[in-house]
Amino acid sequence: MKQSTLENILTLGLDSGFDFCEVFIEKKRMTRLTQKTHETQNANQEFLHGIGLRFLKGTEVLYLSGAFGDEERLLKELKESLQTKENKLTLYSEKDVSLAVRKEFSSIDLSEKRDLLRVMTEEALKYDNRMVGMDSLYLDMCQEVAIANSTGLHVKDTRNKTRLFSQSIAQEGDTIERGWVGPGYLGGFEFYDELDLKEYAREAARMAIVNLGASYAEGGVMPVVVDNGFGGLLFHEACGHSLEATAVSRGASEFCDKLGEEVASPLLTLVDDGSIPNRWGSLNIDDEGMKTQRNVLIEKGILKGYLIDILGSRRMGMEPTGSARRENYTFAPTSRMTNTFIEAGQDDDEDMIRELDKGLFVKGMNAGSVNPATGEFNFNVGEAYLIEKGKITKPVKGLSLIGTGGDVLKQVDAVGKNATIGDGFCWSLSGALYIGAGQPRIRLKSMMVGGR
Amino acid sequence: MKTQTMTELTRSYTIKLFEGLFDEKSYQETRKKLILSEDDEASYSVIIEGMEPSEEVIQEAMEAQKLLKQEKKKWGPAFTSVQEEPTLELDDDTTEKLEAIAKNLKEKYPKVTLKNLAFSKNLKGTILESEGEKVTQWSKNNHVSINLDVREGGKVETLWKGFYLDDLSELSTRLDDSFEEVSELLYGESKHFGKTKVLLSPDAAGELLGAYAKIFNKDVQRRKGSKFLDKEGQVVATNLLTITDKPHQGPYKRSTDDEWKQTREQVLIEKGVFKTSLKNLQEEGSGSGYRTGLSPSTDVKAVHLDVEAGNTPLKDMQEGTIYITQWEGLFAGTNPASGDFSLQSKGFAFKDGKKTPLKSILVSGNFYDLLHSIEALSVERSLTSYEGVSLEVPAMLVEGLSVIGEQKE
Repeated sequence: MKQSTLENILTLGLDSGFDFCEVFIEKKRMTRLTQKTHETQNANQEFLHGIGLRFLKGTEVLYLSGAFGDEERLLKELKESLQTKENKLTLYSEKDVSLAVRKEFSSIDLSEKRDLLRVMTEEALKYDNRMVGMDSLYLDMCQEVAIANSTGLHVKDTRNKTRLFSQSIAQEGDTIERGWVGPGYLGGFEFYDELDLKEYAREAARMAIVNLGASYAEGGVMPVVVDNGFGGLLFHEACGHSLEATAVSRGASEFCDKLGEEVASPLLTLVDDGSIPNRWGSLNIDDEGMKTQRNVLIEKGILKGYLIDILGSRRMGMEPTGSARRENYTFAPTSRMTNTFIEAGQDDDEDMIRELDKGLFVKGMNAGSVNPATGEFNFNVGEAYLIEKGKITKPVKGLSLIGTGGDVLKQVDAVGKNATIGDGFCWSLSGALYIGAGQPRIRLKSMMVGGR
Repeated sequence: MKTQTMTELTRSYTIKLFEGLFDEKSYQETRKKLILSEDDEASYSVIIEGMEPSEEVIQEAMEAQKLLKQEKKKWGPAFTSVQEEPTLELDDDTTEKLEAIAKNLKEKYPKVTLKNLAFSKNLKGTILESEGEKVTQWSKNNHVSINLDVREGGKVETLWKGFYLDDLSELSTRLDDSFEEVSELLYGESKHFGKTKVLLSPDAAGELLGAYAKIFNKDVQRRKGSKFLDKEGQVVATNLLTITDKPHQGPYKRSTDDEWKQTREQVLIEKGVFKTSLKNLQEEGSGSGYRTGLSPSTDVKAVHLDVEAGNTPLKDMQEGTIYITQWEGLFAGTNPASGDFSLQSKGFAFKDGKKTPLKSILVSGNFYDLLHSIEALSVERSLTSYEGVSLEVPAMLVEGLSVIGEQKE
């Protein structure tokens, strides 16, 4: 869109009595390949080109969005719907902050992308004769965004992302179980030059085979050790959503008005960082045009900050934190997590197990959800084992963990040394977004485990 | 080369009460999709918003088709059936009626904050066009959603509920139930019962069945996502249970599916016996092939699952049971392939005529086992929906589910 048109739109908004106006233009090209074992199910190309206009008056919001069309018509319709005076706003020149990629997705043949799925499927099926299938998805996306607002900000960013998601299927008699892997990346097709596809495929297969041999466990309240990596989803659900301005600014979070207070075990430091290079959950700038940054939310148990977008900052009287995100132009941005993780501690991984007479070791998570107002969260366990007399013993399945965020944060009594981050998706007010969740191995003194 | 286009139109008129202030909204959206396909070959789909496909895009799509030649997807014959777009308007007095209902409930339950109440009339249209032929169809529904919040002495309880209804006459009763439930659950406790008799409310039973609705789909069965593969004619449930897909009923009703095939009523389970699976063209059947919005491929899906009512009034089923009214995390906590579920839940314990509110409990079991363990179904049914499938389901009395909580009962 021409700079003069952007300036006209923003001027129209200001002249209509709004005190902040923003234009978000998005052009996205996305390729999805799906494969169900040996059948290539579909190859789909998606193009989106749209515009989102946001006008704020204090904390009142008007959001308009639509497919990108004729610029003159858009201006005419806006003029008709807004009461205007005749002023003029001037934007800075557009600043392109896009990260370079070595291999553009559009330069790669579809057959090369499909081969990734084929390699993973073949490797998974070789793993064990009880492996009966693999459902896989290849995704790449090139999203160009231009953001301009009435403070004069005018930036452009190109975000390249890609991910493989594979679900392995194992069967023995009437029992069917699944395992999954889903590595993702901020960058181009060069990601696959270094990625050990076969190792990921074997990991998905291993998980399915373990669950095939798993038994059901009796539920109850017990100590729980959660392994490093995507186990960090526990904290994403338990307190991450409750620290977003969307909940805090409306008084709908258990963490309202608790800055500076001890809300967690002193062993815990929780960080959200959208600026980690090449991570699936990272962004160069957020969807309001602000540079992403490292936000320390909880430091040694003390609540230090929230995740705040522009609207949230107005409601809360605090500065934005580069945390505004949206799935696409049809959503107004809200405060959302990026890569959320617990920092490494000093405890020994093996000791955490050895010190327990009885408990649950959670090696992998599936998904979960939370009610930020009450803090009640739940998540489903993907791979777990009993801990008996200081040792990890038999695999168990069909389990969920529940609790409230404020309580579970205080239950942590050991934090390991090796923190890693896993990749996933998060669904909330501004749509489905790519996120990272991570932690070192962590032990909780007591959690409620649902089994049978 | 066959070229098809699919256009999806959505029109909604919503009145939303937000903490005492009315905010009226209307919503319109039109999305267009181009589908290039040849019989007996794979589809390559292009979703375009706000621009027309370029020659380069079409060329790329054709290349992709060559790549996917092994695929056996077929497109059904097109037929012409054009219907005029139905009218959609809110009645002039809707706002006043909603205000009056909200005012009465606020007076009856002064501790409960009505965070918002939204009433929408929705119209969804799909237009399929191919080689000069065209079929359009429309579905209309009324939807209500409420968000309640109650706080006292450091305790917090919230409730969100969404439901479809024919008109505003039944709204007051439905909302009254929700206000009462959230007020009682504020004082809920986490109690441990172990394996016990559980009564799933009509809403809870409907949502649980919704989370497992895909087990009836042939494509899911074939990909090992369901235990019902090749189970036609076998007993899979108690003989009290009859489940039918009735695509001509409910808020998402359809006369044709997204493969241009006419929909029809299909009995899935009849008195406990598995009768048939739902299929699309790729599964060598028809009538149940749907896209999610403008998603490129057609998956098999039910439209409206109807579970036959039983003959016991709900109030006569409650004594001696754990009555579950709410689930959290259905998406994460249910596994259609194995049938296992373990879900954060809320509800009430009924014992010796006393009703005790319960929260922070986990209810676990296996859905395939549950189908065999249903001991009674209620006369009353409710209309719920889950991931685009509507469900009309009675309360279910089930033996042997695990109810885990903090305090031993």
